[in-house]
Amino acid sequence: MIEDQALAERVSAGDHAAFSLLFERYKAGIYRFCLLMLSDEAVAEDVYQEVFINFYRACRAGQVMHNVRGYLLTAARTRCLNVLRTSNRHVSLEDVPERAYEVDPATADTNAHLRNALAAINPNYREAFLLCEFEGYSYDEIAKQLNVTHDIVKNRIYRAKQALQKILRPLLRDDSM
Amino acid sequence: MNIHEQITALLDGELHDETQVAELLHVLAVAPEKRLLLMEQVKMGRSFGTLGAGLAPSRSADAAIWAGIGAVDAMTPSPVPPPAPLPPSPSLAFWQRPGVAALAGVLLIGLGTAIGYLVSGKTVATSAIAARKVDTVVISRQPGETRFAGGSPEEITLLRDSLVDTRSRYATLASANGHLLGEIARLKSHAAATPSFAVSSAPRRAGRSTPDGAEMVPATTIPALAAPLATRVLPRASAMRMSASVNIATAPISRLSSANSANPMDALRAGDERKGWMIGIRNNFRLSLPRIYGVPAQSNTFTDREIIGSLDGGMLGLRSPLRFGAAFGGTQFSQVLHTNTGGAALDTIIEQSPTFLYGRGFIAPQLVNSENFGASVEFGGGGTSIGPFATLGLDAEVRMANGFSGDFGLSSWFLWSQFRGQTITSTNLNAHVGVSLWF
Repeated sequence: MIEDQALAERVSAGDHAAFSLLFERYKAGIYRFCLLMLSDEAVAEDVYQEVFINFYRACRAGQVMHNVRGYLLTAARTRCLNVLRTSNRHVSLEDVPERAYEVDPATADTNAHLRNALAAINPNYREAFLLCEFEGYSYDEIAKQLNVTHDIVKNRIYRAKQALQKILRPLLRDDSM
Repeated sequence: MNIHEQITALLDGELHDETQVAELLHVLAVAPEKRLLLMEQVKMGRSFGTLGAGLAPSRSADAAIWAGIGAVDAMTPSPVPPPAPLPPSPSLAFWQRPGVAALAGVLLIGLGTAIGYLVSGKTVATSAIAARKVDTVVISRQPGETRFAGGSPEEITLLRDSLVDTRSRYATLASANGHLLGEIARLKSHAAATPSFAVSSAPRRAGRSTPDGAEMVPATTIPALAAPLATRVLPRASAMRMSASVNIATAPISRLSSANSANPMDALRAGDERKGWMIGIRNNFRLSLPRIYGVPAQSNTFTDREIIGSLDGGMLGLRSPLRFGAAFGGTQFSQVLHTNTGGAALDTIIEQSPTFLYGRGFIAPQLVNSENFGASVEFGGGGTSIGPFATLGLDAEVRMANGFSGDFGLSSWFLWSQFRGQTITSTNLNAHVGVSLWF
């Protein structure tokens, strides 16, 4: 497999084939992160497009990409948080209250319950949980990515799982799941 | 750290203390409500895994990204390509140096001409020997053939008698012809003097009407005289031709001074890429003319091979897409030799020459020069032991791999030779296939 950095160098010369390889490699993760962070498909797609187009523009501008995945994820996270801050103008993300959501196993499919549950928890917890659960980052990597300590990451993930477990308990204790 | 935190850390691979792990496993073993927490987390992790696998961006979102990078390209100036790296070794190979290449090209052309000239030069010595041999030519008889014995006095006498007879009949024909011409002149003058004379438009056979209406054909017409001549003379020559299997490998032939000169074509399309040197081998499938019929063990179709090399004109400083080449090999020609002009025993010999060596040079303007295909015209000439020849042909090459090509083409080779003052020409029509290496 060609290294990300080598591909990024080729992208800087306008090589669309190299860009295509990187795009196919990371598009699912970036889109998933955006969608689950924002809980809105249209906004998530906008952010997703913006992330990759800006990445291409940065490459063409000669910016050296040492860690393509980290660059893309940081860009996606920054934009998602900006969107969330815009929608919660008067409250910091730390203080965004958890939304009430009650799961009724008989009314919707499981994936909808999971997405709604994720949308209900604090964005900071959600962010750490997504990076750990979906992207496979270790606590240290997440700490580095979020520029916080290991313990904060550990705490956020614990709180996220605790909140999700609480919301999803009717579903998780359903034997049919 | 409470049990819930420990379970979370354990499932995320973040619980490294063995004592803590052992304590947690003990608690999970003895406390069903704690095990239930663990099972909920495992189930939740599995559910989110399933959720993540099913999320994918729409096609329209991907298309918008590609459109976006197209717009970025349009706004971003093309980066200046870095200069091509220099070759690792600045010194060219010996044969690639311009001076050496030009010299070698000239030598290559000279070599082709020289081979032909040197081989051809031997004919001065061999012609004298051959001239003696042709007078004592051996005629091999066919089974049951008794009429002609090569070089015997009876045959010579018979042929001389035939010649005298032929001359006599020729004199008779000339006399009859003069008589007829006089009669025609007389009739014309009579027609001019008689205004009422009319000529029927219907075709009429020349002749005179008898009183009873029958038509009498004149006895002195040319066909009446010529017919017996044809039946009496021609069989002799054809009989000799059919019965003679003549080996005149060293027939008295001298080289003509005329030589082919090639005229390179102008205004040819310039190729994108030129190879410097080519060396190859060709297999020729030849049809030799005139064709020979009925002579045992002699065939007009045969194959032979030649080794060929060429040099691009660009290496000699030429701009037009020309190649200069030389080749040598061995071939044969069919020949028709007339011996009756000097009163020799044989009047006509048709023979297939033995295989002789030749050398030739050529100039080949390129007609087509694409990545995988090339075609060129080949003008050239060379020499053999029996005379010079000129060549004109088409060659096409299919470039199968870098430095390797397959060749095929058509050509005509035109040979001049001499026999007792006669100029004899022969032609070989050729198709060839071959392989070439380019470097």
